[in-house]
Amino acid sequence: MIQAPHVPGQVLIKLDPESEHYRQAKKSVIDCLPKKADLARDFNAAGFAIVTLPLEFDLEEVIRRIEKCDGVEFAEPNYIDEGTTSP
Amino acid sequence: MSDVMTVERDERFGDARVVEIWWNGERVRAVEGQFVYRLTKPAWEEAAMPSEQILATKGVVGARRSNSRGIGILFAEPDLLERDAGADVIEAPEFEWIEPLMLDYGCAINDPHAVDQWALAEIEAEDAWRLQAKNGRVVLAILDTGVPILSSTLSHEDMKESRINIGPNVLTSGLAIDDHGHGTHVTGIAAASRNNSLGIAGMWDGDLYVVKVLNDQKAGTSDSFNTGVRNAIEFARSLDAKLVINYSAAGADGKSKRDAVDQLEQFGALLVAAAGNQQGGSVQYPAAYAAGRGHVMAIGAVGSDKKRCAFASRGPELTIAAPGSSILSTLPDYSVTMTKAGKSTMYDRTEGTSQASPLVAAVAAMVWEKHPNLTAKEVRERIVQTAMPTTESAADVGAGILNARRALA
Repeated sequence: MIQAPHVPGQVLIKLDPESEHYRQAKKSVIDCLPKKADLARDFNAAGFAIVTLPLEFDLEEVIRRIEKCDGVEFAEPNYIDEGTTSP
Repeated sequence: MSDVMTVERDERFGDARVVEIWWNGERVRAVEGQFVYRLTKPAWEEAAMPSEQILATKGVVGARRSNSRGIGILFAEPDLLERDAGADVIEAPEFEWIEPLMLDYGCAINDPHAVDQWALAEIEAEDAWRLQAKNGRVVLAILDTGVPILSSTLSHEDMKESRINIGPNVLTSGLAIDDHGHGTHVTGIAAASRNNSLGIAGMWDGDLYVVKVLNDQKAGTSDSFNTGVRNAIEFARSLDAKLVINYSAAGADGKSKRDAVDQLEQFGALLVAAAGNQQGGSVQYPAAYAAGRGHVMAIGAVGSDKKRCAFASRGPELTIAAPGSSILSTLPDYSVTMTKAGKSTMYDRTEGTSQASPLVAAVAAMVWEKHPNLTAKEVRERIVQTAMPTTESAADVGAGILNARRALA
């Protein structure tokens, strides 16, 4: 169970943009996403993409699945930070 | 302590001549025979001064006693400056420091609300401004909710200088337009215009870069932090400048956050981050990376009593603390989340480790500008070594309270 505040249904995926297999890795990740997943933001120059999933999905399970894909450096929930003015 | 070389100028300050001297390696204009001092805290509390007899043997002929901050003026024989720039001769244990009364410091600030900025006096900001030296180029990047922008230009009266560079909104698109108020408050503390006869005095007067990574509820994500960091690195790289980032936000540990911190380390940048407002709970991330990463600083908050603010996080990761309660700064000149919640437009007070962090970031930028050969870790170390110790524990204030004068000395 993911305890820390995060954007519901969002997964942040990181590939290595310097890798010679980068293009293949992008395709591989997209292929291994659940069918209902939406690539909310395509991979940027740093190799990050945001995927949105329906809320009924088990985010941890999906993250485990994505991290097994070739070329994936990591995947994790899109954690929320908050400005630290009180209150 | 000083190099001696006086040059008479056809100029007077009251009845005294103005002379040019070399002081700590810099050529400055000083009032002949006058020295400004600050008493040590014990001497100030006991209203103690070196005896008049001892001072007289050193060439001192009179004194204007210290004010409420322990600062006063000594009047000496006119030739004392020429002998040894004077201050070396007059030094006494009761003085925390003593130096020639210098003119044109650029620290006699005229911002009308500066008198209400207690934090500036606490960290001895005016002394630090006098000690500034622009030897290298530094960008201070503020990753927050943005700054006041109308019609694509800076709209706040106290933030209209060309040195303030508007970056992107990485959450959606467009410019870093503040729709909350948090970023404007933080940016004002760090870098509102100084000596412009308006509003408050910001600490840093160099290049500023503002990126919007928090939304109208002052919330951001691991992704927006990472994107903002990378964007700031590219901006600093384009100017061939050192980079200090202020991040007055906090949350959970994460791989993308660590990736951003790694990027900063590779670039040689310094990250100054608010410790969080967990009411005495643990330091949040990215500030908490300060425990093992020399280019990260975790900033706590103290009140005017020099004690940890009740709202502030605490823990072994804290680097230092800075004033964070009842902090007056800028707010947008239009309606935003904070003004809808009761804050005034233009200027108001608020509190948090968010307010403490930008003071430290600004001083770090000043230190780096003066000493461009330092690494990010060495800038952090200088600020740590010059922090003022307090009776609070290290878990509450880290190495102590930020002192800008000592950091710049």
